[in-house]
Amino acid sequence: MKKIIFTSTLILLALGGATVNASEKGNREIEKLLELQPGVTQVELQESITAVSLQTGLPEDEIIATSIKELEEQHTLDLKEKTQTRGASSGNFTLSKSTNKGDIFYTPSSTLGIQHGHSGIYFTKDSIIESIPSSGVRKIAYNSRNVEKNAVMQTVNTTQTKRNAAADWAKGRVGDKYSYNFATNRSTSHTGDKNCSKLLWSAYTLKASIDIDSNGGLGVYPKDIKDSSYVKTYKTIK
Amino acid sequence: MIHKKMTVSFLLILTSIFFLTSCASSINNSASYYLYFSDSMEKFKTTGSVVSVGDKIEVIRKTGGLELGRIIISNKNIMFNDVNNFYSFDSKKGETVVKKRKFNEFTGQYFSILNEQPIQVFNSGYNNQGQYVTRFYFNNSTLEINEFMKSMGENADSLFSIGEEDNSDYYIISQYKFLDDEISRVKLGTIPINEDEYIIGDIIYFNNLLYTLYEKDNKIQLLEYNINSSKSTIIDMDIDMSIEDIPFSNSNFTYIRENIFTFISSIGNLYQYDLTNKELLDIHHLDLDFSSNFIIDWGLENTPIIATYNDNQDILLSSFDFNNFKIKTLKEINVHSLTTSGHLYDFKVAR
Repeated sequence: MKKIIFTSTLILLALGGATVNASEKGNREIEKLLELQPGVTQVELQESITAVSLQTGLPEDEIIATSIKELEEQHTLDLKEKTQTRGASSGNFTLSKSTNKGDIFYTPSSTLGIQHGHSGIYFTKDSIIESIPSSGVRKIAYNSRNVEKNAVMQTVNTTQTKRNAAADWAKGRVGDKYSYNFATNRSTSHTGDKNCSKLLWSAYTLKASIDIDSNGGLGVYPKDIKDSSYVKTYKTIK
Repeated sequence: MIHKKMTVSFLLILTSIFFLTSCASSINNSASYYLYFSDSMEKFKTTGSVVSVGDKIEVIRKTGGLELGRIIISNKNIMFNDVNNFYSFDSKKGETVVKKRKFNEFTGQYFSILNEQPIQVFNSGYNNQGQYVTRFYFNNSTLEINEFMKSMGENADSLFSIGEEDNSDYYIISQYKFLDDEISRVKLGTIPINEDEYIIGDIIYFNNLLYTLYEKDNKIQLLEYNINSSKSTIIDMDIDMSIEDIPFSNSNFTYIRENIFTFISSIGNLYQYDLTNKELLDIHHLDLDFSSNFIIDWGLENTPIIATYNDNQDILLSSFDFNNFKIKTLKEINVHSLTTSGHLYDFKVAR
């Protein structure tokens, strides 16, 4: 009898320990995800993970692990891009007027680790709509935009009617707040807070029914759009 | 109790609304040039700085940055903005007066002085009613204009703008004056918005006419607006310049001197159009590296000064002489040695 009680206690303790360990691991992973995305609150992140889990049926720990993997991949690409532009900021270049309304641009980021580059959409051939942290979605003249060396101007392979609709939709989002959450932004609301790549991705998803995220996953990053098979580069800024 | 409350309120008002004087910087009396640096606003945390260049090169003020921020100099005071504040640096005393604005602003538009009053203009974005807002700040007041500004300029006592309302098929030409502590706006007239035609660069005032570069039929032309008659004219300058060669908007790349509309392209070609005889003069290529953005101060009429970037992305200040179009190097500024970052958004010669 004594032996049974002793064994049961051991099993319970082991299970309890495992639960604590799993919980601690989960917390560490969440903390890591937060570290990779400064500006995102724990509540915002947890809510987005729960929402993605409900949408996809995937367990939350798998969503967290995938998000970390995607963010780390972006960081590796940022480093590679930075090496190509010789380390220091070289962002003293200007965009050109676009070929079409609804064309998009991508600029490498001047700093590492947070933005993963930046993208925007031409509302007209001479004005840009973009989502920025300070003021959400804004409008600015094309030649008022400072970009880094190797920034690209691209057109999306769809009809001009759909490009127009995508640009008009993006402009309609002016006033939306910025979200620092890239990790799960494919699953967040099209009409809520958003970052630069989410603005473009939502515009073309909703108005042209195409997915301009080159690699799918949970997050759509500026480089994912730049590398999409739906877009074609027609000018590289040098 | 009421007295105490009033004192506290008064102190709060003092700290939040009125002028705050910061710690004195060192005095760089020899400063000849001032440069405005800022991050662009897609960064997570933005910073900026204003740098004085004289016998020594130093940061006179670290700021929160402002995209398209500008500097103006008046009576030895160097004035500039960041996302939260207006600053006026007294170069004689080495002190900076800081004034907090009512709203945060993230994109500069124009900055000038009318009747000794600094007028700050920002591209403020859409309001809650979905209307576009350009905000003017003066004294402790603001004026909101529901237009996206395509171009702005000034003469001795007025500002001018060409603005665009949402879904409108014409631009609005306006004049602003600062009188009796208020800004008054007069709509001078309109010009049609035509497909594939674009306004380029700042407004330049000359003899009651407003000029700005204009793209039509894939060519660079000149838009002339007569303030008296409200009539606009497109002048074909017969210039063979690529549309791709339009410079950065804060470059100050257009100017009028001696009846001649002058501008510099992003590849360093200097064009001069004689407004009296309606003819294009010889084109000169300025022997400088124009591969990055540049900024011009035309203040010294016959020898304007240009800030360009060199291969190391340091700043090179050079002058060119209208008599022979020769370039003279004045100063090389190692930006990396300063604790500053971001892009050069404005540059002014001390006066």
